[in-house]
Amino acid sequence: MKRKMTLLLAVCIFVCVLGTACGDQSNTTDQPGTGTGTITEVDTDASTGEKGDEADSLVDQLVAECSSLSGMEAYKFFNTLTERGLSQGEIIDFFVKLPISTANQEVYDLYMNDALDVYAESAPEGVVYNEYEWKLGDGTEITGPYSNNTNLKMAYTDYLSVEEGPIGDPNKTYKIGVVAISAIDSWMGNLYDSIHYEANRHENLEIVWMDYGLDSDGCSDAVDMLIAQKVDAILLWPRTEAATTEPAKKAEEAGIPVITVDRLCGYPDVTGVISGNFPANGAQCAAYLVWQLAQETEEKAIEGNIVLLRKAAGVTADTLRCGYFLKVLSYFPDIHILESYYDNDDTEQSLVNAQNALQQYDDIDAFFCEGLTQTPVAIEAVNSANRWESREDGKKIIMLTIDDTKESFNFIDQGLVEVNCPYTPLIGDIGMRYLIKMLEGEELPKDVAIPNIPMVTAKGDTIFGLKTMSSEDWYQYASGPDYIAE
Amino acid sequence: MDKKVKSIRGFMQEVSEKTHGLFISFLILAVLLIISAIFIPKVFQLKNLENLLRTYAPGGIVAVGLSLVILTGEIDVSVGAIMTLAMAVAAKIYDFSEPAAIAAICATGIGTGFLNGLLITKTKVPSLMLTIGTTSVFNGLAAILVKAQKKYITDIYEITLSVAKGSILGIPIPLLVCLVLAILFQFILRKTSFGKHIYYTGTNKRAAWMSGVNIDRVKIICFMASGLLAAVAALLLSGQLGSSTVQLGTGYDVTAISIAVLGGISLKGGKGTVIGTLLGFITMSLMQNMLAIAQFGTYVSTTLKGVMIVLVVYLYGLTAKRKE
Amino acid sequence: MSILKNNKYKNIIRKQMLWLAIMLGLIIGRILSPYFFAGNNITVILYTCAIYGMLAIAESLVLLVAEIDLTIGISAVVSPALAIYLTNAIYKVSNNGEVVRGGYVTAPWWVIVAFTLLIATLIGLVNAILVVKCRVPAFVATIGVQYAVTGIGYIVTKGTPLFMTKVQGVAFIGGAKLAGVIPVCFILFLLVAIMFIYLCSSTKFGMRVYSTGGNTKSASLCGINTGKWKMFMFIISGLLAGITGVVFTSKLQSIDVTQTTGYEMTALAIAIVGGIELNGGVGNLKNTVKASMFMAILSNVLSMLGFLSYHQTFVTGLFIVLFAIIHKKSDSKRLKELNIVEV
Repeated sequence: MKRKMTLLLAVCIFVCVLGTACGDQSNTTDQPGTGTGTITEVDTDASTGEKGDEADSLVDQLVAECSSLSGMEAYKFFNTLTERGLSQGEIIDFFVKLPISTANQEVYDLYMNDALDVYAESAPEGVVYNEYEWKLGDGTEITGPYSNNTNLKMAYTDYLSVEEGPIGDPNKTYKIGVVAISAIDSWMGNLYDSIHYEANRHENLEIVWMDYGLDSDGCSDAVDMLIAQKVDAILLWPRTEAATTEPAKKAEEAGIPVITVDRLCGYPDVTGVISGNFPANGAQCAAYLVWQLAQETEEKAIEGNIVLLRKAAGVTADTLRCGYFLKVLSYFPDIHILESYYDNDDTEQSLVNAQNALQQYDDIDAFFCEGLTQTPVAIEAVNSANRWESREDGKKIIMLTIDDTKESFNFIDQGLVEVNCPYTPLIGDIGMRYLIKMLEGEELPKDVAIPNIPMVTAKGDTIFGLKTMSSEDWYQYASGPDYIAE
Repeated sequence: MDKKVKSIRGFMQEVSEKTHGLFISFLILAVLLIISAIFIPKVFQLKNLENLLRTYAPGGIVAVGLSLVILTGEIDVSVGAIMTLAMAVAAKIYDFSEPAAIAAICATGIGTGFLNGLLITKTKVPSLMLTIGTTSVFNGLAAILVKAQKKYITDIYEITLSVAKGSILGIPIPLLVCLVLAILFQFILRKTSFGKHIYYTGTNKRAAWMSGVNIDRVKIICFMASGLLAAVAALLLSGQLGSSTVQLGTGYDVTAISIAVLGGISLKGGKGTVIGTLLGFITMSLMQNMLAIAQFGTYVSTTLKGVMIVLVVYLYGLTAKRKE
Repeated sequence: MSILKNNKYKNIIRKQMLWLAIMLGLIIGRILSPYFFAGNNITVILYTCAIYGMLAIAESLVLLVAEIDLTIGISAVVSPALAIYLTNAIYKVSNNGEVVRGGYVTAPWWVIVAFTLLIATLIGLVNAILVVKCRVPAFVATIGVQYAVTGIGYIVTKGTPLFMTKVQGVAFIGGAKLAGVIPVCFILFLLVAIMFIYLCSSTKFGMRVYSTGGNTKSASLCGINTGKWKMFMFIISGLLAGITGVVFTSKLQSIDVTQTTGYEMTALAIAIVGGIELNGGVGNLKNTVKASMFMAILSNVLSMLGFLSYHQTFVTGLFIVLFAIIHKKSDSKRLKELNIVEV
């Protein structure tokens, strides 16, 4: 027995020794560790240096003015936005840039406890390339090359546009490696569609597709394999920030430019970041809620009880959407968050969460459904509990959703959902075109934002000067297969 | 004091032996009911019970099917994958004709069960090994068939929706299905010779074989039953959720085995009853519901669920008569 | 004469099946892609082999004593996270917060490694006590512990990942490569494998393990303390899972509790392909090593072919079933020669 214990001990010591064996192998980048209890800030991008614009600093001014207000004063301030001469995108920006307020201590505590401030700080402030403005009706209709969904329309084909046909040097074949999460639901499948669509338009573009199946370790291996194949560029779609830092770094150090699409990657020096508009999703939902609550009480008070149905913990989609949602709500002390549920990306757990919330609380005023798995089950739960008119005075429970499927638009038409912030998956093509432009030698800014889209409401109301879309407007762009309802 | 403990233990062992382990199941269920009556009375609201039993019923159905397999001494961890595959096969067929889709779902369940059973009895590979392999095969196949896309169960699929979301006399249909199947299987186990053959196979394979029981046929039929029930559970579950993804069956193998074990079925085979599994299902659902309503949060519930499973099986172990 | 020759070749094929599979995989890989033998690609194969191989050895050891351990995957992923927070707590007590939520970790690497191994071994110990002392069937006990550890991991970290890039020396085990190609963790894996192969085949340790697994009752009648050996195997498996956790952390330079864990199933699959029997007492760790190399090559070739992740799941599943049947066939042959009728 002694011999075996010493053997075990030997193994332990060996591993520890290996681990510390080399002080000089350290690869610490930028700032050295402080060693004290402070937060070491992630290097946020430097593209916020564009302070030349009048309107930009106007938004910042307004944000600064509003940050000390609370309650009805804040609401009145929001109402003045219509008269400040801001464009639609700037109004959305205003809500996105609002800092967290301590007016509502409960919301502030929830925000801090879930470490949402850390994620909010590291969210990139992208710049819209070439001052592109998206108008309703832009885009191209396609049938998805991967998913075979018909009736898809890509909204951003004119953004960073590139002509069809061979790129760069027509005699050379360019190889682009794509490292994708997987396609386990139709949203992800549509993102695959968008990447394939753009690649199919150019004959001398070859894609090497690596699918890492939700496994962070597999992501690292995929990048290694692409480096071995000497690709010209890598399009990375990260699942989590932390685990994709190392792979991105490896590729960049091997001389292959890496750009990320949709979610963020932890490595600060990637060549390009196409960031999705998670912050705008959350912020707009909150703005709508505030407006709706105020309308109901004829602008006397803003109070309500909210249940948060969230995705899994620690995922960018959850942290940014929920974080920015809470930030706007923190200005109103009479709003209560009844409970925040995680569902671990399990649809059944979502259903159970929604049912339990209805069971627990008799006075729910609104549900915040963070994604496309939460929305249908929340509606199902309220349906089966027959609680649509369970608020005070028989008012309808407010459904705030962030969903981009054709199914959810049917819900809006049926009057079940008040607001839906679209987050279209057909953005892979923007990433491809960024790479194409880069390979053709063009200078591009590092952080490119996907233009913010206004939310969709049932009647296309105007919220604080922001003209929202109606479901007919956006339905053509919605993702997923056609949903046929009675 | 020692003597007292020993005599209590002996008493428990006697009783549990006599009632085939049902006594312990009842005891545990009773304890949980008492705890929730005292601390979390909201559990007993009718709507809550209805929701909870409807949502967890598919898990119960899978467990009932799996119990048969475990009773014969084998195990099947591919039940989750069978669920996913059944819905994937039916995904395209739904648009042609709903009854055909439902038939396809059942056929897939029976077919995959048959495949499992055949491979296990003909090649004599231990069932755990084989079903780990077939889990990957079925999951992969399911994803290939639908290209990993989500299939919506829309309002036009009336049969599926009405069965999954409906109630008869206030009792949710999925729960009724679970109860009926459990009682049916219990009847088969206790009253028919086939049921007796299942027990013989589980208790001592060689002796059963030598006394003329066709153990291959028994096992294959049990696997087919387990596959069919898994497919039915998939149908009910996707009807409730309104959609079916390639992750439909994830975690159901573990849940089903936990329920069966909670109900007193021994993983070695030959011991336990389907009524016990039913009780295990109610216990497990109650446990999850209590944890949820007590507002512990999803992740604390996960931890406590794990602890409770181990605790309950430990208690079963204490009351099992030691043969050594 | 020719019949004898046939049998000889068949025997060779059957005995060296895994080597043949590896060779075939390498050849097919080279045919399919000119980049197969490029440095980075070989590195990928060796990484996969090392990580899954370590877990497979852990699982094999437990299988050899006729038990099963389903916690190794979650243990590898969660124990570094718990170690960090434990370090944080200790440092806080002595007035020096080291780690901040969602941020960068600045604790010394050896402390993290030591605590990871400690916590992983503790999880193994919990498994051991539950299975041996409390007589809970291993399947159920390890599933329960798996749930518990998953929950604890999320509660402690709140799902937020931790960046390890500022820890001095973190990159060595997972990142450094000899000659730019062979990762250090692969060497570590080989050393661990050689040690356990030696122990299992040529020492009393091995004899005890095989006896305990092969026929527990007769082993204990012979005076072997089977309970102690089973506990020991669980503890070792926990330790190996901890080492794998250290390698993960070092390779990805981050700790992420939300990382999907199907690792224990993969480890089981590799053990099956390598011929370890789930009833204990049969199997050779050498074959486990070969099997993990084969699976690594297989997944690499499939990725090269452009197979998506679910295609790979399907093909891997087919191979598992195939190998399970092949191994069983050779075992059946042995039993037939002994005139034992299989039921």
